[in-house]
Amino acid sequence: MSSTLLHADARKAYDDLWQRTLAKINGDLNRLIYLASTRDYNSGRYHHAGLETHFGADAVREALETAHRELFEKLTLCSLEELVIQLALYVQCSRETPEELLRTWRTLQPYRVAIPLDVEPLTVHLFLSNLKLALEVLQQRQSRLQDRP
Amino acid sequence: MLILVLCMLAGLALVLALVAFSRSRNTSDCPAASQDKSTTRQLPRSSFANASAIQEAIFSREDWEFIKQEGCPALEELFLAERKAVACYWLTVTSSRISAIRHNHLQNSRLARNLSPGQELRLLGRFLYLSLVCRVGLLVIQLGGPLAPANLTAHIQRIADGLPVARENSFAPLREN
Repeated sequence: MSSTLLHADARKAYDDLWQRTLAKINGDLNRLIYLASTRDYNSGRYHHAGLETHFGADAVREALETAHRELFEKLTLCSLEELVIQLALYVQCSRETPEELLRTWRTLQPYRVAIPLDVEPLTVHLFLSNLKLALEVLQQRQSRLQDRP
Repeated sequence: MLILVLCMLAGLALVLALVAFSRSRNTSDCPAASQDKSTTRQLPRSSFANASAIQEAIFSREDWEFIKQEGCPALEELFLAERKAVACYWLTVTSSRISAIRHNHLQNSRLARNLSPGQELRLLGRFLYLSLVCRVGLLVIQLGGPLAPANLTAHIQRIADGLPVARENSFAPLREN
């Protein structure tokens, strides 16, 4: 991953975030969901207590925001096949059963909270559309598995 | 009757001029090719570093091949419906962006002191051509599906990316003095 950060501290925080946290998470969709979870629902500000003890809160916020946006763009631009692989990996890492998770994701669309702030509506439109298709692909595969005697 | 014929002839001449303009267009007469990149200013565009990447993702034939491999007609139908919506949205957004660039250009050219009629006419032709092609793209999507205008949209993206540079080249603002 490459990023263009304005501040040196933010750059360090970004590298640390990748080396100590994101590299250990399996799959880009898992990473995206993790980064979205570091954002406050009400204020939209990112927080990471561990990183903030080493770097300033502003630097950490910038690092998390950059990583979040980069992963979002990567997943939006990847092929549908790759997105299905990423989604399957997410389902696999989840504690829920595939049926339960797919049903919840298709109904409630909780993945909408994974969208970064200030991204273009066109990008959001493409991401949501692709994720909807990826969910249907997995659902079809799941149905086929269940239909087998 | 004569007025109607004259109007039709004028319309035909305009369409032919636009077609001739698009065919004669090559990289050597495109200001984007000769302009030093370090001195060009970018107009508002997609937050993506490469705006053409999103165009390629929307009109990707690879995705369609992948969906077909799944062997589920309902899935294919959903894919076409989803991509049609996104493709139409892309053309609408692109058309709006072109209109905004044209509006900005008109605003700025009012302050210019050394407008070149030739360049202005070429730019006007390019704006009109892009607007026309965007509408044709929407029609092609309705008739042939979301992947049909893939080459056309790539063409639109290339020309639209060249517009800001063409605007920069077209005049020197009065405030320079």
